[in-house]
Amino acid sequence: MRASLAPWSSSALVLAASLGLVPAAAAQAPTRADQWRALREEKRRRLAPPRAGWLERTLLQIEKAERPAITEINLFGFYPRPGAIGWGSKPALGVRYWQPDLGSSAFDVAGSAFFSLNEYYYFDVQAGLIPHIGRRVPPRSNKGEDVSDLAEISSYGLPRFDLYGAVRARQLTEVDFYGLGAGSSPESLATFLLRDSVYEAVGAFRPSPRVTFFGRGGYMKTETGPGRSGRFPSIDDLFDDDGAPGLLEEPDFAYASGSLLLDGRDRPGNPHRGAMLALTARRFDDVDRDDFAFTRLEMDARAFLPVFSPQRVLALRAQVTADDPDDGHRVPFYLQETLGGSHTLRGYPSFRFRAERLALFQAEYRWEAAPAVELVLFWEGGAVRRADEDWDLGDLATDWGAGLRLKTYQDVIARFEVAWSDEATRVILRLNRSF
Amino acid sequence: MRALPLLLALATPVGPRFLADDPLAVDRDTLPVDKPLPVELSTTYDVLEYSWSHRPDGKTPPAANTNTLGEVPDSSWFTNRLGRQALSPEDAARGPATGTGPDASGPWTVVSGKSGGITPGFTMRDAAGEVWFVKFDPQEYLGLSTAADVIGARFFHALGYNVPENFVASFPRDRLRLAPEAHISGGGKPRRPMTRADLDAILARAGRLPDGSYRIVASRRVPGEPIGPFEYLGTRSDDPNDVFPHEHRRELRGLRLFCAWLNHDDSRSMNTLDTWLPEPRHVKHHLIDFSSTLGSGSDATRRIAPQNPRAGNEYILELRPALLSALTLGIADRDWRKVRFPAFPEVGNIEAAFFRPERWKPEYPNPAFERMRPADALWAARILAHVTDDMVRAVVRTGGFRDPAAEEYLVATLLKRRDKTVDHYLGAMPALFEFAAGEGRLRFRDMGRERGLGMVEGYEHEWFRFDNETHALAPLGPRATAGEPALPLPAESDGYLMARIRPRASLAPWRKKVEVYLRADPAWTVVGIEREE
Repeated sequence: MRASLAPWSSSALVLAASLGLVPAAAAQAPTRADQWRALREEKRRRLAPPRAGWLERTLLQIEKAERPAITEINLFGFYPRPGAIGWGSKPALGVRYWQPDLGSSAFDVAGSAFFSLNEYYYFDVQAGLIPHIGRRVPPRSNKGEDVSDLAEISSYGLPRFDLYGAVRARQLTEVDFYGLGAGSSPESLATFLLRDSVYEAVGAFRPSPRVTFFGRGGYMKTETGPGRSGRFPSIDDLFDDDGAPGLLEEPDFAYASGSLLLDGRDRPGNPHRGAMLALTARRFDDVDRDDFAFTRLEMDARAFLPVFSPQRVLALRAQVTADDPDDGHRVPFYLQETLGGSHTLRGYPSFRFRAERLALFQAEYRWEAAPAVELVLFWEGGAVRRADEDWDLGDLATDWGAGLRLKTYQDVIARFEVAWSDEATRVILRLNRSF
Repeated sequence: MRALPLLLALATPVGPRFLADDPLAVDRDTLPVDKPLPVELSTTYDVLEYSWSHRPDGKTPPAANTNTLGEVPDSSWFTNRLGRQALSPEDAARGPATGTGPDASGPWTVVSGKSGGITPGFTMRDAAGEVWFVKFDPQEYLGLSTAADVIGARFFHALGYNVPENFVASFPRDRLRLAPEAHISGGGKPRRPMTRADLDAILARAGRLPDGSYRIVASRRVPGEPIGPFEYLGTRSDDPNDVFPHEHRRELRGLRLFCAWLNHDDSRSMNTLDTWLPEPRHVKHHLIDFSSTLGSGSDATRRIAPQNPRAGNEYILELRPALLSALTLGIADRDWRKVRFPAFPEVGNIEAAFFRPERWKPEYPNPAFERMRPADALWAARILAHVTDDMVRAVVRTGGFRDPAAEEYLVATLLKRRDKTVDHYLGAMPALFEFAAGEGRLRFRDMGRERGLGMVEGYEHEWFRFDNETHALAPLGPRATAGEPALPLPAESDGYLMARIRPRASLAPWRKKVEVYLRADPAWTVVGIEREE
């Protein structure tokens, strides 16, 4: 590269002056000091205050907390929220109520009210020592009901004890039902209405950040009815009480559960190494009948293995659920566990497989193209069996897929995935992690 | 103003090339100015803006604020501390210090706190009423960021920049008082009155020495009234003295080398500060906050931790390695992930074996660094070459390391990084410096040859009479070669001379020409140097 004319050349200043960019005084100055001073005198005649653009000003206000984060906007503890009430829910809006550490005590109060365009609703009230970090709004009270929920709860930063009471009621107007067991068909899709209300006490003890014991007990009222989807038949059009146990009855349940979470993941929301095991035992007893008493055992195990580099991770998951009804008893169809949807068999729709026994195996190869961007290839296999059927894991429903995720160090912000199965190609966009 | 350097580069030579006061030793950028409005920058915007725009377009002009020798005159930005004379190890270790640190003869009064951020801390008045900014280390990395902050400040001061006075100190809890008007901000919360609980919360995250006292870095408030950071691009529109676009200031372009040497990956606008001095009324420019230098940095949760191995090797947002990784299922891994660092919690992650100064990168693109031309780098490399081994040892000692092995490791690492940096850039152009005429010869130093970076058989040279008005050159004899860096002067006694020197060297970059201008003043004086890049 040939050296350009050095900037101290007076001739350069002469040319610049001729174009009106530099004062003539600078170009004709007898000394360099005079020349540079003339430049400054010229600038002094056209000073202007610095002015940032709109975007920069806005970002600065957010950084300085002059504008609260959108998730922190509230009025007297009421937080407006877009919501998802459950699968089949159309867009929902709601409000969370959150008053942590009342009167500088450890006592907290939380509540929720959500409504969707297709008449789903969800209400809850929680009071007591509710698990939370700082003033961040805690999960809704139904979070942690099943074993896979437990795995999504990070114990880091949470207090040693939780103990709170919760009351909730919800209505789901068009829950999908394909029938029970492995032989169900996508052509037999029907919908049902589920209305339930729960009164429960929840407690947790964390002897260390890696070990948590949970306990939960309460009373649940349930009600089912014809699905209100206009596109698919109602459950009572296609199934009877044998095909959908509990269709004709609406028992109330007393229930209790105990869970253990052993969490050795390095970062529960964005694990790169370590393992996790969640175990739950639950007991359901129908209160006013003698038809629907059963015990449920659940296991969710996950392992995260770096593949010769922290940027490549093999993520493995095995989940097994087994319901054991008492002699002569059955498990109502709406309480049976399911496979399908954005967290389990992603190549199948939500609730595609439903039965008393369930096994799921997932493997993901994840690689970070950049710290905030992760790509993934995944394979999944799952099977459901009725309580009286033998296991046959050679007959798994399988799918595979690929995806892209945006992450922070701590968690997945969003994921975009495409999954293929024998039955469908599904596109998934979610603001949470897969597992 | 941004168009000026391009115009300068395109201009055709007319008028005197050298003025009476060339080469300018001091740029008196102290035209009186009323206090400019304070400015604030958004961190997020800064990252996005410089990651995606203002990238060099391949037409970077030479630095705009150099004198005719290619040196940077002293100014409100820079002082030639190493460039013109030697600095003793003691002077380097003293840095900008005018005292010995906060006055501990009485209580320290906390006047404000910062609850969030990488380094929580507070502002206090010491027993003498001086205001200090106080920051801590976490217990698991006691000494990591406080040492880096002190060592970094002293090195950058020695290299020529304006920095705050930083000291490692410690204090017992009962020395602190909370001022009634104290307030706290940060952590995503608005500013509010500060309570004792807030102070306790800050101290709860602070590392303590075995005697229970808190180890801190105390940073004295720099003189003048703060008016916000400077940017590495453009000029400040309300400061008349700020006429050279910052991306074209040689001391800001060359700063890249110093930041590479010290692994100052957080070298961005946020870590600068302009202050307005009432007497004389002008703006002074500082580098501040060196807690993310050397092996100190922060983890992804923004807590002090050993530096992320990515730091210095890849921008936060960089497309090419991301695409390469994406398209190869992650098999194309970053080579910096394989780097292993010795386990010195006080030192963190810094090493010299993998370090390549020409590849070093800050957290995100810095417009001045990206415009560093070979001549800018040569200027900086020469200054860095003047940092002696003893100077490094003396400055590192001010970090107050408790583990002698950690201190020794850091010294050895910095010496190796310095040598790699200097050697790389002195090898990229003829490293001919310190030209002086006398006793019938033009003498100079060939620093590349002296350091043994390559073979030089001699110095091919031609003499010309130079017309300062028309810039015309008239040969004064045939081309000749001198074996040593001492060229016989022609038998001329007035006007201007120009020597065109081309080393006969083993390294191709060293065969580029260097043109040296001399003026009869009345003895021959070197007034200009132009280097082929």
